[in-house]
Amino acid sequence: MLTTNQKKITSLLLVLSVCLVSLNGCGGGGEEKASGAVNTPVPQNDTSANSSDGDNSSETEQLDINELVAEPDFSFTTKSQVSLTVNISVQQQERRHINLYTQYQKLDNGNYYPDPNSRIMRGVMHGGHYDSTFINTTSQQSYLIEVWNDDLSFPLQQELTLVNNNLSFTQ
Amino acid sequence: MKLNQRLHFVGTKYLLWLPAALLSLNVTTTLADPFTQCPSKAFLFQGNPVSSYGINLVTGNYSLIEDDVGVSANINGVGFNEQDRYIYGFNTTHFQLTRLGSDFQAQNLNLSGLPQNKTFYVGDVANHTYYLYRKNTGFYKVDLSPLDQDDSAPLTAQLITSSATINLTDFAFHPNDGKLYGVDNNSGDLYQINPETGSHFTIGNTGETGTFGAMYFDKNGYFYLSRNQDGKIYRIDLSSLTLATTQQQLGELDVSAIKFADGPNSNQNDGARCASAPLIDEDIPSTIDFGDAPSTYGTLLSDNGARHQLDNVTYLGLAPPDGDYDGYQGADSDDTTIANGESYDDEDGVNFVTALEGGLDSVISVYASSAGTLSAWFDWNRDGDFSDEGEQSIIDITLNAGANMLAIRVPIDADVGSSWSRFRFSQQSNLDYFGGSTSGEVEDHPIQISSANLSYRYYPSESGWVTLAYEDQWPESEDYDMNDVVMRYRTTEVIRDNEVIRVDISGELQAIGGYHHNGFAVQLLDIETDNINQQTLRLLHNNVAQEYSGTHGGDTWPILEAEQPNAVVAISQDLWKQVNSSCVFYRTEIGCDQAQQFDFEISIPFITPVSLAEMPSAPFDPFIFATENLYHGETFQNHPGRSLEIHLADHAPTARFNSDFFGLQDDTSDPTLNRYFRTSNNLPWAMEIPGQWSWPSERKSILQAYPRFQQFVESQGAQDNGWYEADQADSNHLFE
Repeated sequence: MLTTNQKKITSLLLVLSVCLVSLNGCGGGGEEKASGAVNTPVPQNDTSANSSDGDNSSETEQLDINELVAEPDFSFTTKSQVSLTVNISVQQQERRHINLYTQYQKLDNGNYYPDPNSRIMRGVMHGGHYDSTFINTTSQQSYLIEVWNDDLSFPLQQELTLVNNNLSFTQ
Repeated sequence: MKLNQRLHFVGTKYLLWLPAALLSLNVTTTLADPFTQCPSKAFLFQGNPVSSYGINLVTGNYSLIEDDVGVSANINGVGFNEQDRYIYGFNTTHFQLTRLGSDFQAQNLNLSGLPQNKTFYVGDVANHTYYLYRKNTGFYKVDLSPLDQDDSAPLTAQLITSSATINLTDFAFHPNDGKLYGVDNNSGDLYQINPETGSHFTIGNTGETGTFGAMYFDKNGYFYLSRNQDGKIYRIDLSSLTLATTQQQLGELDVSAIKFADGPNSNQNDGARCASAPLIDEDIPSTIDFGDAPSTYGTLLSDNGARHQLDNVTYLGLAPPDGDYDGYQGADSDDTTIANGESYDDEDGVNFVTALEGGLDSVISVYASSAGTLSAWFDWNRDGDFSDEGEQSIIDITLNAGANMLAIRVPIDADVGSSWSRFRFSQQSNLDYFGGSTSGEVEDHPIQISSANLSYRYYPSESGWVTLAYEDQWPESEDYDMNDVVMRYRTTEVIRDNEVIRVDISGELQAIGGYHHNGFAVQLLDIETDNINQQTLRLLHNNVAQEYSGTHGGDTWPILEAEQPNAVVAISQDLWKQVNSSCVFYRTEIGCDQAQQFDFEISIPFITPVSLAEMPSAPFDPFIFATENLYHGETFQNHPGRSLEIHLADHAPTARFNSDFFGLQDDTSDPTLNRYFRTSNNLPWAMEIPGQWSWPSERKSILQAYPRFQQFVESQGAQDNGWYEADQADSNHLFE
């Protein structure tokens, strides 16, 4: 069991570790916070932390697993299908390359730095139009799209926000 | 500074102790202490007056330890004595035997019996005996044991043989066979020398010549030569030698000297090393970065794999890499492997922003921390190495700090499919795809070589994972620790013109928390078995191609299951066969940490491409099944074998499933309602969880480990949809 002080220390360490992660470039989506944009509720200071023995309230009130009841059609995930639509102005049938990421950072120079490990789509686009779908596993709301040319020019970059399970990029 | 004014340092770690030592600047009158341990670092003594250097043989990095050993002389023929942990050597200026302790100050010893006015440059220590050699003079030994009682005790050199005909500048004792080894500078021949008789045997030619002034062994029996002229460190593999090795076996050895690292140029030198020490000391934080491509690419230290000394200045990506003790293997790579008490994915500086298409240019974005030199290799013919002609596609390109856009030309005959690449960024140039470097980072990246105009759709991302967690007691609901089988899992769909032409699936077995034996398979719903190209279907276990999904005696099980309307690929018939566990279970009992041992990759090509609209959704239908002929619970009178499957909730089983099992015990499946694998409380026996989920420890329910799972379930996912995150867990109930 954690005491109140231990919990405070733990919380501090959590904050510190988040900062370290951020410094290490593991986050994404904006200059300071990990976008990745997972809607993960950050654990709040538990009111039960005021109890003298420091018991975790969720543990003391914990349901036995055999008493837990789900709805008959609940899938135990929050996955959803997302549609991506890209429309950019190019010469006829000109080829471009689409990259879509979930993790990225904004650098001091204003450019985005994507984590290539978080790429969920790499597509070839002809004629400036691209449609596809993918499964969003984490209710993520923000994404980074890059559109690359075949030359060595810097790509188009845009942070996209999910609207009704659609992502749209027009330029 | 006089001898008695020296600080006491502690072996190779003395720099770490320096601040503390300065704080306690006590002048001592005692003689030097021996080293406190067997150091992993090699010591090089050179010059007149002599200076001592510490050399990291792994990377070639070196640093000055002491430029004033208390005598104005050259010390040569040095060797580390593991019995008393002093370094012994010969003062070639004053013809004296000397030794140095952890303070690196020379202490003259009282030796007689050597020829007058002869100096010795070749020496080493073994079994508390110092051996000296001089061509055309003789081979001598000195018993050092009298020094145990009295460091001024008289010592006497004994002549082993006056026949000393071979041309050596150093030799070193092999830690396992007790023989001396040395290389002739002029011919490059490698000799074995019998320390009892002085007789020698010419093993073979190393292929290298020059003044090899310092020679060392490591505990595995690898022999290292440092060449004075250019500082190159070579390695000869003598690791197979034992006391029982015959001369015939010796003569059959390949003793080629392989370039290992770049060390310091030197002269008037000699080297000493504690031969029983490993090259990398795992008791201290590692400052070396290794790659993580499969071992055939030269990744592990034993394979002379690519590695770099971390300098916190020269690296790829936004953050410096973490230190490694060796290269990593398998799908997990070094993403999560703990070294130095920390770990993170440091393969983040190279981004393949366009596909690698045969005959076309591909754009790669490389982010450099500072100016430096980049080289990169691509296994274009997918034969498991980077050594073929044309596979170094980037040669010593200078990068600027920040983003660098590079173009490479993919060979028109590049073999389409999955392969590997290696990027090495350093302040050095002329690096090969193997060997050590004194700065920078190595990043190994899996690549897909494709024909033109292919797109890729990743689930959950190119290098991300979902975690599949199974309870294998179905149709009984039991402890709900969701760790009977835990598998990390990702998929890639390869798309051309909005049609999927191939599906690749990778996975890593994380845990087995039950006695039952289970196989693992994936069903591709609505993809006909006949539409799978069996000629190019490929399954790898730990990077090794498999012909079958399992064998037992003369029985074999195919990868693509027959007589299935929907395509079903079996990854393994018995996951317990893929691991060895020293515990009852595998990675579920607290305190029973074991390395991850099994990963797989399967590539499933379609004969007729499938439109995106008709493709089943990732992750498709991964499931476990009972291993044939083995017990799987009291519910079943007979061993159910392949007819027992456990799927994610509401995923229908395959045609091999015995539908008579529906409704047994706690199961409430009802195919008429498309309801499968749920309890009466609608709970599942299998779950798909985002990310690299930490599973509950043995017999701790998912609710105990993740209390917010309750709200997540009861709200149908509207609340606490991050219940599975590490910071939501009660860590007391997790395996790790």
